[in-house]
Amino acid sequence: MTDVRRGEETLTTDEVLDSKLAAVHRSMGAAVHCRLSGSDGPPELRDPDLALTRALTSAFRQIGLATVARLQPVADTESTKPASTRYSRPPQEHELLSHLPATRLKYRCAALEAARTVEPQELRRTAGEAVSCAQQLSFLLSEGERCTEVHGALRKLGRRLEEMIRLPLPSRQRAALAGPDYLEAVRAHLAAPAARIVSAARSIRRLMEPELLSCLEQDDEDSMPQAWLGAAEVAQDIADDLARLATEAEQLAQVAATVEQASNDFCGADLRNARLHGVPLDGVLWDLGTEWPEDWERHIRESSVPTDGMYGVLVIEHPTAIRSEA
Amino acid sequence: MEDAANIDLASRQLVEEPLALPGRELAEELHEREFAGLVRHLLFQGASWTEAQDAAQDAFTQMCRPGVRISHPKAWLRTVAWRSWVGQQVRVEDAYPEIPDCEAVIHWQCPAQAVEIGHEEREVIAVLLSLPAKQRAAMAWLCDGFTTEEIAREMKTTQASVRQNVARARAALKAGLGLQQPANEERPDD
Repeated sequence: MTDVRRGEETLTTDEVLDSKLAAVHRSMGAAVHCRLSGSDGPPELRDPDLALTRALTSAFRQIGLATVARLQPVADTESTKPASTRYSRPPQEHELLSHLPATRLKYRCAALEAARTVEPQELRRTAGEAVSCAQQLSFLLSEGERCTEVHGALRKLGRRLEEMIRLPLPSRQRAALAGPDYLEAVRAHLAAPAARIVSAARSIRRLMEPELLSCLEQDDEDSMPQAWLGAAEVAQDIADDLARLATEAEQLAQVAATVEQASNDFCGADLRNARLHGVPLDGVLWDLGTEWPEDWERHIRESSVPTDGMYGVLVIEHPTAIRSEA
Repeated sequence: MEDAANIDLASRQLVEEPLALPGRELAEELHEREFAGLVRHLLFQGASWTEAQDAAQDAFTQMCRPGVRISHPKAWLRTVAWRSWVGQQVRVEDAYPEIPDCEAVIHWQCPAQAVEIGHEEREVIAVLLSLPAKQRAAMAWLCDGFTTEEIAREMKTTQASVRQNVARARAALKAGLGLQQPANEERPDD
């Protein structure tokens, strides 16, 4: 029996092997226990009756799905896909997630930049403030409040509208030159609601300037109450239009969130063939189902930490170490 | 979940005293406590995470069958779960004259390769899973704390055969982990 020197202590190879096996046994036990606990513990105990019931239910459901699939028109070009994916088309935004993970990772930086361009959170806040301004304006006008407060609210509303009109739109021309479908899709998804917001903001400003201001610029004291009531109605119309615009801003924020998800979430993704050199990886989420290129896997594992609140999901935090070592 | 406190075969005691009890009662008693250990046993033998869970669940279901009385429930569960796992590997149309030598594959999604396991431990698992099926099985039983007598009984073989499988597995593990020193190298205390 040979000996192995470890520090000051001399262990036989059998002892070393035993300790390694015991450590593996313990660690794997802990890993299994954690994994089972994370999914609400072991599955329920199924006696043969319960197991039979479950099996029959499952078979019944599968046959139902297969029957529905068979009855669909043959022209369905997606007939090779599983029934569950064929009949539940994902929402429009989620089409971004259907692009290849390796592509999403490659263009991650550009996609995130496009999402940040529209400043979704800032836009949502601005739209909310504009709605409040218009509602306040409508209230002040209907109550016949003093001119100074009305004009103050009007200026504030004008500033918010200007901010929305100046909303930078993601450049689709650059994407067309660059060529990749994924980036083009990202920019198209962002540009559509952003363009609608800018257009709506311009329409509201047009409504505000000639109609609302003309009502407020009445000099004749006799006709002033009537004019202000008219202005209050216009202000209410503006508030309604802005509420719709705020909904658009909300949708844009959701699209931006989807772009961020497509750029960051690689849980369960097959990235074995992805080229990671030069790709910023900080903030990338992954889990045990993610498959990395063989020569990167160890560095990524060492540069990742568990996320708060998402069981089994890790986030890459020290990409510099990865880039320099891989 | 119980862990093997000692891998040494010589100093072992029987894991279970023979006492035949109704399977249903045993299943209710052992399900929570033994499920994870059973899954680990199959992972050690090379099952994937899903296969191991399915086989473990199947073993407990079989334990609940009416009229079943079991005298060594922990060993029984391992044997039945292993059969269930092997059964998953066999296609209905294949007529196997013998039990197939299930190929162990390193499954990245499986706790055996999970982030919770360190690099050194993953190396041990990788070598372990590269062993022939019988050696893997013997090591899995051994790590769960069973004696050669119990392992031989459950694997339907002799104690000598179990010892031989364990010895070969250990030699392969030592070689695979670089624990074997060249024969002509001087011992540290010489």
